[in-house]
Amino acid sequence: MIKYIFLLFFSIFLLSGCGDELSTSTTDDSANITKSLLTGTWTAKCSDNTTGLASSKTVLVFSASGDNLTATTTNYSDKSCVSDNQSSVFTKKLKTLDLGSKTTTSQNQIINKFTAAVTDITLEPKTTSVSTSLNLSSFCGLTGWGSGTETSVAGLTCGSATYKSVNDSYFDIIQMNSEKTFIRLGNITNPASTGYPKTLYTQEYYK
Amino acid sequence: MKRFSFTLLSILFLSPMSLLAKSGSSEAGLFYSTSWGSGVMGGYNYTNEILLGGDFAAGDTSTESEGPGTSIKSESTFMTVNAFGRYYLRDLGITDGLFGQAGLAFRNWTGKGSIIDDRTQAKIASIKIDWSPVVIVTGVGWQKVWDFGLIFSVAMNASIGGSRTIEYTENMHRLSDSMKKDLEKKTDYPTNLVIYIGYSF
Repeated sequence: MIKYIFLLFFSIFLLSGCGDELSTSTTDDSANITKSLLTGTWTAKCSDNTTGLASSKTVLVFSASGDNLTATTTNYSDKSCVSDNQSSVFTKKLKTLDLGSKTTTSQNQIINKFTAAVTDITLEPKTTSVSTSLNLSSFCGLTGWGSGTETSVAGLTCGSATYKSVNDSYFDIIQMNSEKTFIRLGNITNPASTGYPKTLYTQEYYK
Repeated sequence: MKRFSFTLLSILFLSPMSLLAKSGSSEAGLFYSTSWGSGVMGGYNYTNEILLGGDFAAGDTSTESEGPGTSIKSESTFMTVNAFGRYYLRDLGITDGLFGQAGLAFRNWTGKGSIIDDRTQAKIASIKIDWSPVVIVTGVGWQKVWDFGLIFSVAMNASIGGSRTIEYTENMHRLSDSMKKDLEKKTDYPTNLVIYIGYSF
């Protein structure tokens, strides 16, 4: 009889084997983005466009202690961003940048929201062939395009895009890696109802 | 060849159990466990019913998988020294060889993993797992000893009283609750099937 009790004892012990008691902790080691950290020049790598016949490169400059942001995208007529082959320069100038607290996107990416006011949005053709082409199509409803001349497109509809007007509020999100070597901005073509982008662009900007 | 193997196995398992596992004899062999790796096991039959034994097991697992734009790498190492007492129910007829055992396992188990962004090699998140060094191990099993000294046993063990700490570090991504639950489930080893082949001397 005692042997059956013994067997029962071990069986109960076996069945009660519920593994190791679990304790967990979660550490937030994401970068605490500050204007001070952002101040300076952040440059993206040259990226081919979808056709592979042209390329572009964007430079972000945070100035005035991080209050101002100028995003300059230079478009090239080759696929390697060779400076001699610049075709146009698109510039977005923002001021009174207000950095929000850390939050997450719907995809759980750790980001900070930020708002700013639009100072200006400009487009500058770099060659006569580009300016001629813009004039012929009355791009943005304008016909005064000239090579080397910066023209404001703020508040205008250019092709499929409508740009914000001067002093309009600008909503974006920003992510920085823990090592603080690069940042990413939001995909502004995919905004939520709040106005902030829902997702991040994969493009990284390195300091 | 298959027929020969089947016949051989039938003879081995249906042959009468020997009395080699008697008081004063010893045994040693190799084992494989489903969770704790593989190792060596030895024992001394203190009486016909009681065996005092110990084993050492080591194992490791490493995984590498691809997510959308990410690489997920993990590795765990397990080293366990187990000291146990085993009691055989020798006189239960067809259940002869059935045993229950209990002991203490001393573990050196560690696990770590990380999620890396493929484009930038930036760390998105990482995980570190530590298991407590000592745990009680109990189990039930069945053993067969043949006349020529070969021993085969199979046992199901369970660990009790241990603890596990998982540290999540979030770098660029918040780990979801479902992902955490899944990981916690996969790194829990409440039971452990052990298959042993040894020799009695």
